[in-house]
Amino acid sequence: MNPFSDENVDAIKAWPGILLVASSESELGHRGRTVRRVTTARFLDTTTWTARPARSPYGQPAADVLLVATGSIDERAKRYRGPFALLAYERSGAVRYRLDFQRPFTESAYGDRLYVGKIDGRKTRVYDARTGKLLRRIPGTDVEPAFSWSPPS
Amino acid sequence: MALLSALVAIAVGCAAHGQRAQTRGAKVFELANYPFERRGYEGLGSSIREIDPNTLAPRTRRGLRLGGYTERWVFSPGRREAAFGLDFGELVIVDLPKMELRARLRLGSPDVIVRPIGWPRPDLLFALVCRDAGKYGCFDNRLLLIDPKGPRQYASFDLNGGADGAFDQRTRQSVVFVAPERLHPARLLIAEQTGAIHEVELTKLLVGQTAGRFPRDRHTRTGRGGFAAVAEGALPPSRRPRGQPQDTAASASRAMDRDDEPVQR
Repeated sequence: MNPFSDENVDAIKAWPGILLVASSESELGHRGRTVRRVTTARFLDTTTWTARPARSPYGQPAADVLLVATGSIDERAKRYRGPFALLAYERSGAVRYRLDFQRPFTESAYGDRLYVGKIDGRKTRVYDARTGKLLRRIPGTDVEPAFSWSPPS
Repeated sequence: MALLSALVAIAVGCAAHGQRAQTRGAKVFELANYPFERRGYEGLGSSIREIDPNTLAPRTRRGLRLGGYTERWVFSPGRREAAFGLDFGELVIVDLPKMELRARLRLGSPDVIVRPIGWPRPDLLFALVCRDAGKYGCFDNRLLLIDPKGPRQYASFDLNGGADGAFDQRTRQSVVFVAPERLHPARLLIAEQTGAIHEVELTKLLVGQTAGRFPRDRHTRTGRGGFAAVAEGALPPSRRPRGQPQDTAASASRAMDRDDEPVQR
């Protein structure tokens, strides 16, 4: 640790009662490069306050699955490194489905809809997040759902 | 345990914001930003517009412009209205069936950020405000009690530290986590729908800034709160997650306590 170091703990609600908790440290390394490393990634069950290891520190909850993207950035070669896939994990840890892509992608989810787009963030495909079924292709758009509202009865 | 649950709620509250499950017949809205450049101002404005969640296509030609940038909103108890906190020190109240602005309440100067937390009663809304200092943070955090009907501000409390909050629909309580600026125990404020506010000091959760290890450099380190309360001291050792060496943020706080000196200003 040095004066420029930082430590963060992030929590994502993966399923009801289960959080994905990940901590990461970053510090100033050689020649001004920031060195960042994930120290722990665990699923924390808040009903029993027990934890089990998680395979990835990142995830996107959608419907009843947790979506985890594969792929990384090769900092030396300055490019993305595959395979580029999206895995949907069930609460038990089983993979419900896997979506493979040719190129780096971005994803977001709202309710039971999964939106996948190009690396610039523009969404081009809509999936059913529960099954991974492609519902439709759409013209690239920046529009994303923010909230839903039901008219009062 | 209730205290821990409240902390967890705060930790995940923001992440889950706006991601509630869609109910049948619910309308889905986008929250879009637009630049003020065309009008000769700097910054971003926000607008809301109904969209089709299956195609992301807008269902109306024009959105409802709210004013400044917003990222936090709450619904009224009857869910007929929504209150959006703006970065221009304003709170706007939208009549959702009519899709029009019902009220605009100025709560501070244009550099004040407004974040509504909970709207437990038709005539009571809790909101956090702070003065935006860009990359340096958001200072002068205050908790406001607002009457959305008026609209008017009932009361204002200095929080003396950074703050974030969440609303519990079941108990209709608003919970605010306060992290002091100087190394000190964090505090939890629990605001009832009656307007009463209870304060709890989390004595085992030290957060805040300390001076760097070398006095000549003026860099500071921050021990952030949030989830740290889960393992450190709050759970008996027998119930701590096995194999987890130490709670990270809490251990960072301990390290700061040992290695560094409090900031002298």
